[in-house]
Amino acid sequence: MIITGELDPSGAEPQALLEAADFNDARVLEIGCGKGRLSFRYAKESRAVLGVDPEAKDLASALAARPRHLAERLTFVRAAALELPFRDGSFDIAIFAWSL
Amino acid sequence: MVDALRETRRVLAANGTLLDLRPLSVRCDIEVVTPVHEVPIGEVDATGYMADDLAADRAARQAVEAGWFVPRRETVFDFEFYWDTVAEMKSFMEQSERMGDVRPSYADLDKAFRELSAAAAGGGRLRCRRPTMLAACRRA
Repeated sequence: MIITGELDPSGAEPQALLEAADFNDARVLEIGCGKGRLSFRYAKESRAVLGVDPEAKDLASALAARPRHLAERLTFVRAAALELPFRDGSFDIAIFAWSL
Repeated sequence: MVDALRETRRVLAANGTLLDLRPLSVRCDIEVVTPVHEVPIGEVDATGYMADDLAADRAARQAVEAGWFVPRRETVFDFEFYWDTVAEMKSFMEQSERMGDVRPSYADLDKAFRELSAAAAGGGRLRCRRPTMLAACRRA
């Protein structure tokens, strides 16, 4: 899908996230990250963000669009919400963004 | 969905936070925004995922009743979409899974948009504000 128009220019969505939890130094899991649209907007506020999505094409787009300055703290992995390939207790925050 | 919440609880640390962010299934106004006006000219049906939203609500309730999570806060804010032309908005709507029928017709929306934009010295943009909820829960 080619996005036309401008989405959330005021940043209300990341602002709501940052007000709802303490992202400072947090390990964040975003389930259903898609092309990373939202991940890019809050990743700099946390220690590390891992976006998961079952769609390989979306993840490839996310990786291609990832800003260079976020490369060390924002990564993407192909996985489904029902079987997350991570150890117990690995994250401080889990986000379902338009995906539950 | 409830199984996904159980799995999410597993990977969350003790007292970790679950954030459930979702647009609400409602009809949303389409407005023309100029330096001097914010005028509703139509609406879009964004109720296409109503059944999925209700299922997600049920799953979240089940996860709380099972003692996996403790609700902390819930807020609603406007997620804004902006377009420079009706054609641009139409292209977006036609590709959107969550936003459907637009009223009145695109031709009528275009006429209203052009008239209002012409009347404003700085031109205008189209805006749709979609109410979006964010629920925060603590891992129990």
